[in-house]
Amino acid sequence: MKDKTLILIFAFLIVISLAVIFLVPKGGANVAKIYVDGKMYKEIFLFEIKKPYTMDIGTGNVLLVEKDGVSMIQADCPDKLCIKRGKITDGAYPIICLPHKVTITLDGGEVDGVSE
Amino acid sequence: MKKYIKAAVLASLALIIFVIEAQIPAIAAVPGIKLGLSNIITLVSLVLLGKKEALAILMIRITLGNILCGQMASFAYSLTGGLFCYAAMILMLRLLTIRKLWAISITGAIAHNAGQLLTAFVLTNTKEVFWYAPLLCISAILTGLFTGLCAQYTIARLKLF
Repeated sequence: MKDKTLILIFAFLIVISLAVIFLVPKGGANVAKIYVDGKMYKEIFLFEIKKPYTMDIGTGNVLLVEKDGVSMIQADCPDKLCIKRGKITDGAYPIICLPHKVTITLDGGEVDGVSE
Repeated sequence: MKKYIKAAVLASLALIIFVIEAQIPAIAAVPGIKLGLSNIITLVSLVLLGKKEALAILMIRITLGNILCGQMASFAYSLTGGLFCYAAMILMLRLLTIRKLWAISITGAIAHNAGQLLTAFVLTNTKEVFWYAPLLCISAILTGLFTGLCAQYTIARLKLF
């Protein structure tokens, strides 16, 4: 296989990856889903929130829950990538704390006509 | 006898590189983005020693490296990442030959990240982790190119001996 072919293949992969990163619609942020060790720990309906509050989910991770998103403000894992992630406000790129097996995702959610 | 000495030296190098690289803090909030410099040694071992020796050196690096500086879950990630990378690289070596080491390295890097992403999915049981796939893919291509070129230059120099 020639060099040129290989370069084209990898360039193609980069382009596709960029396309996915920038073009895929991310979904809404109505429901925050917290998973611990693969199981759903809690589901929070963000639009019901009047005042931001903190939540300790028991694995050494503490979340800040607000109307427009969720962020990790405390974690005792060594890499602290989950805190670095910042606040998530849409359905893509969850907050993940791999050492504690915690994942937090935002979802459009199923709203059954209840509005404020 | 000479082979054992060479393998031992390469294994030590792989270990040192791995431990030093583990001290560098993560640059992005994406789990799994790193330079992967230890793969340079895996490539060098593959070319200069052979498949079996390279695998042995890889396993030594994974086991001792994670004992020395790994956290709880890191062993599983290192293991799957390393084995996926190794499998992909020996496959590509057959298809591409040593002359295209940079491409083999990139494929290894992509496989490494894919293996780790899969492990993350299995351990956290959330499919949303795959959102990170495109970022990891781009990172793998760039770092894989870098380590592949490093390996090529290293081998060129070592062959002079």
